[in-house]
Amino acid sequence: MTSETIAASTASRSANADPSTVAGRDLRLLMIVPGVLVIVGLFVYPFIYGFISSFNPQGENAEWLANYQRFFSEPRLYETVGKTLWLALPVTILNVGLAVPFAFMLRTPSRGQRLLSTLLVIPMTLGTVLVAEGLMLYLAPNGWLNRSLLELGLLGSPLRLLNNYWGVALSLLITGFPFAFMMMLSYTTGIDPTLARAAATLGASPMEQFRRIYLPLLVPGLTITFCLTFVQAFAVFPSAVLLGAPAGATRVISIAAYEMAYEEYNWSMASTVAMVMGATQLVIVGIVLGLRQFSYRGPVVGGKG
Amino acid sequence: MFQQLEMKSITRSFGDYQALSSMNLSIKAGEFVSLLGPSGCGKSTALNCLSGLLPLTAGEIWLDDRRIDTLPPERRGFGMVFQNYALFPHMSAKKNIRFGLEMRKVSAADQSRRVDSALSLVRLQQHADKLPGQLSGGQQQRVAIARAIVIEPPLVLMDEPLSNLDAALRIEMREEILRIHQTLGLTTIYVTHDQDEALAMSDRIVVMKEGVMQQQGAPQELYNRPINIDVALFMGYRNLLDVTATAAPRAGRLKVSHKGADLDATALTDIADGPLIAAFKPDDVVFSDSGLPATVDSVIYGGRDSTVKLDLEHGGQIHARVSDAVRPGDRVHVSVPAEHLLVYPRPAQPIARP
Repeated sequence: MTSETIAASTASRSANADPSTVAGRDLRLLMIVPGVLVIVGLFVYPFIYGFISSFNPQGENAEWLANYQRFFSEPRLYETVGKTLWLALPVTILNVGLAVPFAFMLRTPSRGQRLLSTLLVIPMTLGTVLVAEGLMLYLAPNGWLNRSLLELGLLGSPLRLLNNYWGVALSLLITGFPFAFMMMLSYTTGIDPTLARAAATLGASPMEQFRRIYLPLLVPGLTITFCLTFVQAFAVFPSAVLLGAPAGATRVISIAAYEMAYEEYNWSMASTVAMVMGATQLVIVGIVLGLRQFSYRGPVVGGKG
Repeated sequence: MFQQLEMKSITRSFGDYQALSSMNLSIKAGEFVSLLGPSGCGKSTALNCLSGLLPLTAGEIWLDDRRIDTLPPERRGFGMVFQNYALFPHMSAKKNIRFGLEMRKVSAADQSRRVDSALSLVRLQQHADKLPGQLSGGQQQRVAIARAIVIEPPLVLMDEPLSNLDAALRIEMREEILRIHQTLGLTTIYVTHDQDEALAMSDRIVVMKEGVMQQQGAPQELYNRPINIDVALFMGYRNLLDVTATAAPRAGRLKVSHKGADLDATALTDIADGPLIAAFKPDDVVFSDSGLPATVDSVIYGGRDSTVKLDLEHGGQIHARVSDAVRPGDRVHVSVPAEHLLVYPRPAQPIARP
């Protein structure tokens, strides 16, 4: 519905005696109350509670910033930020980078598009734990992958892909790519295909059509997809525990938060870790969205439909 | 430049469906040719085949002695104007126009000079730096035209370029397109479903129906001597009368009878025996002393002439455009000069007016 038709229907409704209006007040606004209650109850309140709690450290005479001082002085804690970023950023860049050409090639509806989309959605629906368990069998030193490569003579000794960085990175790739692909597909199919046809008649090769027409118009979609894929990857927990080295290379920030909450029973310190986690995500998302300011952000069709 | 564009039995099928069947057409440099027909008649398919956006299923396209149907669109170099304009939304008017020159690796100085002259040709100098979203429909259409012609293409293809504009702007842009066509000496192929537009603009009109070319010729030729009932109905409003031939019909002057009344008529082609249909324009009806008796049903006064709805005494209703002063209820006799009363074989299905 366009804004004009909404305006028109609003106008025509208020012209008649409208039962949703009482004494000039539009009661339809009340319909957002349940939604607001849910958001406040399940998101805003816990967030504020955690925020305040992070400045109220446990123990006698503790300074209000004591939790944050502890976080940034203990390598076991502050190193989790770097380790999580080291996992989440390359994986996100790879996911989004791979999603764009796939989405571009599959932008016109076809049987292949539907088949591939279905195949790609499956890992999303399975959930991270099942994917992690599958990968444990597949990537193990005596798993299918290593055995096949050894049998084929491509390897002398099995690759170590479990309980380290690579296992977690692979699982994030498998669960994150479908999401990035589906998002990019919807952005790509939203771009008017006659634009590329017009570019072709003006002499642009398929590569130039992509570079000059599709890519600039995809930037807003790229940034949003990047942010959402990144936030998902940054919150990695199950695969970091199951496939990674939760005491070493893949000791991600969510593991630190879990330890604080359920091993040290230090709720306020766990809140602090969560706040640092949120702040880090916010910085990255802020940078990416800030970069978007430099690109075109208007409609992606070439005139009247 | 080129001398002649030649389409040799070009065909395009989608599965079992033939969108364009074996079309033959040759176009001379400098011509303005319209492809006219209702939606689904194959006119846009023909245009897309010419531009290279749709590969041919069969046939060949030759530009003088160069075969071009095997080339991809970016190597044919025809300018194309799309129905929805297809302006690049992230580029200013100027950059849209410059795009084709950049793709052709024209030098920067030449690019600026040619973009400026294209902008002034479509009278958009003040709007050069605006994005398409900030321009009105008519201005967007001008940018689309400038973008297509700045590359100095041998052929400009226009796919219903005016159908998204309102009526007043449509008339203005018609003149604008003709002015540009004549100023630059372009060769233009123009697809439209609007017969007024085709009549007003074209050197030559090609009427199409269900993928098959029906007739081609000068606007006057198609308007006055449509070769079959489909073309006749598409080229303006026609009154229709069921008639039968009183002698074996063949091309030329013949006598037909409409419910007992004899009429002199013209057949443009040899036609077989059987039921016929006579078609004539409201302008060709004259009130006379003899002819078919009729009663005036209604009169719409239109200044120079009036549109009169008449009930024929033999049954049926016709429209006439006459300058005679008549009033509803008047009894008159109507006749149509034999050269304007055209007869065609009567189609088996009931006739649907476009």
